[in-house]
Amino acid sequence: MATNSRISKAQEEEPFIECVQIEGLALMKITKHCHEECSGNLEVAQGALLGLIVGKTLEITNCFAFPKNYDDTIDEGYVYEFLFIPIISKLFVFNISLVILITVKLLIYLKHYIKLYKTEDYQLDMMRRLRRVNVDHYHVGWYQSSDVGNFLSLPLLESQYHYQTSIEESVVLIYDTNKTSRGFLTLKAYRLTPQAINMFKEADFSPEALRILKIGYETLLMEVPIVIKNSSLTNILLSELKDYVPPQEGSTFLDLGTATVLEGQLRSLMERVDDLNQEAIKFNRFQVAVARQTQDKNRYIQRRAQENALRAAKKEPPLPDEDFNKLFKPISVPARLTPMLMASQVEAYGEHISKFCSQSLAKLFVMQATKN
Amino acid sequence: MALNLTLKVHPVVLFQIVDAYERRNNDANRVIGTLLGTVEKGVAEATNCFCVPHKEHEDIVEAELVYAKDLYEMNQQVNKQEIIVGWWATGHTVTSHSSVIHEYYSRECVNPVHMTLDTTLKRGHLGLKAFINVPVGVPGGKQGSCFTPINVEVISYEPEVVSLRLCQKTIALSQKCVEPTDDLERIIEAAEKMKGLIDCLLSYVEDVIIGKRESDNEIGRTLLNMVHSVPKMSSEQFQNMFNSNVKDLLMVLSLAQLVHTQLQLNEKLTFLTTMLI
Repeated sequence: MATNSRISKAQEEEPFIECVQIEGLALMKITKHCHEECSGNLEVAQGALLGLIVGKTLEITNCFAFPKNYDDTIDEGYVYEFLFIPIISKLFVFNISLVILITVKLLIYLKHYIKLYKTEDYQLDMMRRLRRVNVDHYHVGWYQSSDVGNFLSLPLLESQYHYQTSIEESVVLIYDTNKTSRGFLTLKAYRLTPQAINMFKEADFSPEALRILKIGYETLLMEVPIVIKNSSLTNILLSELKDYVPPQEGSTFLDLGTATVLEGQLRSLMERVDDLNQEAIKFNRFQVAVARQTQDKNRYIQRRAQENALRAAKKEPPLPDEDFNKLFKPISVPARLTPMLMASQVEAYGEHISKFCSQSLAKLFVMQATKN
Repeated sequence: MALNLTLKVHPVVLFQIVDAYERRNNDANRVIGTLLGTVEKGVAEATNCFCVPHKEHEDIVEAELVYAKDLYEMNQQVNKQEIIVGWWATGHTVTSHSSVIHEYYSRECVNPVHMTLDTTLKRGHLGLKAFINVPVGVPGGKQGSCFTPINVEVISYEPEVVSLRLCQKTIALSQKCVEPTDDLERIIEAAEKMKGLIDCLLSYVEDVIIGKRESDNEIGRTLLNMVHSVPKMSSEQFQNMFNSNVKDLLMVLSLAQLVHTQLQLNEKLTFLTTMLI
């Protein structure tokens, strides 16, 4: 078994999932949910994907949405705490205020845990009920809405890491609300690369660890191709719907207006690049500090050696060897995870922008042809 | 009990019904479920639905109402605005069991709408019908109720139409699989489609000029409107506008490429420096 794993690590690790197959039903449900949640505001819609695994294809046959306030129970508790502290401090009886403070804290944490339990309960409940109506209940992944590609964040990677460690073949589907409302359906499936999983397992984000694992911002997530499949009856439904939904609808992707969209995208790109720049400055400062520290260390060692030599000449006992580490505390390496995430984010923005530009150029040329 | 109630259905609902029908138990001939959505000024809009397990025997109908209630409450957690607007069933007629089920739903909401989708393809297509219950009978005598058909339409949000168009590509293919197309490819397809449409129009106009076909005033007027809707500008103005747009886009494109190269360089450099630390 050990030799097998060594061999498999030497060659390219075989991907577990080569293709994601999604049914029309799941696609429509995701579209509807993300559209309803995110039109206008910046909230993120999340949900679970259900399906089954057939060989190297992950089939998604159904999905359901998670209720809102899934992850922000933590902030709520602390807000309440800060509200109560000034009120209680006004109470002059110290003992009673302390007791009240403690009970309030306990209640808040209890509420937080009850909410967590409720949301996990929701998932299990939903899956149990869907099983009653013969829906595939194997939880194969989750989906999240995003706004022009800004989905890459630490919580996303951590959730995907938890999913992939518990269910080997899970994927995260990213649905781009903004782009789809402009007429281009954007649905992408991602999985964490094996290197990324190793990195998260060790939770070591220092540059050396990253170099050993050969992770760059490009190798964090790998994209899995998506295929849409519909059953025959669904195809019949689709042909019927052709009559019901007039063909003029669904042509907004031919819209020629590019300024506002491009402005927004460029602005987000600039913000991200600024953040990345800050991180780079931090790293540079760290490097300068380390260089200075090694210089100081060497100078100190030299001086020590000199003094010891002098003392040996005077036949005095040498100075005790002090622990250098106590004098020169090693400066902690800044974690490379955030800059890496930002770099991927910038890369994603860049890709989006280039795609957008290319299709706008195509539209302009078509317009020119029709004019002539 | 206004009879001018219209039912507007979203495609998601229909997809869900078809899926529930395909996954029904062996002994079930039809499936029923709850319709969720909103009601506003004589228009009931069904945006979501779920299936409710039920069994139909000779005289009685058993439906798991607790299940229905629970699923409805769970859905409320996700979307507070969706309320019960009625119920759906597969099949091409309204059966006697339907009235019993309808009675239950009239307790859950005001004036429930009953929708049927003919998945058995009795008439050669998926008939979509909607009914409401109207009290019928002689005043003072025994009152009954009658299912009266109402208008039903399919509407959808803009993104739903986009997804729908993509799914519709699976109709023609034999393996029934299609990939989400890239941006540029869609524009190419649209341009080809437009070319086909223009060819069709041109042949029609030529036929009318020759006299092969009768001219239709309506079509003529719409054609004239279309030609006039092209904004009038001199070719110089057009060229200027066109060139400036193209220049902007090309510049942004090159910027994006620059960003990409810069990022890769940054990555390599940081790795290099870590080896020196």
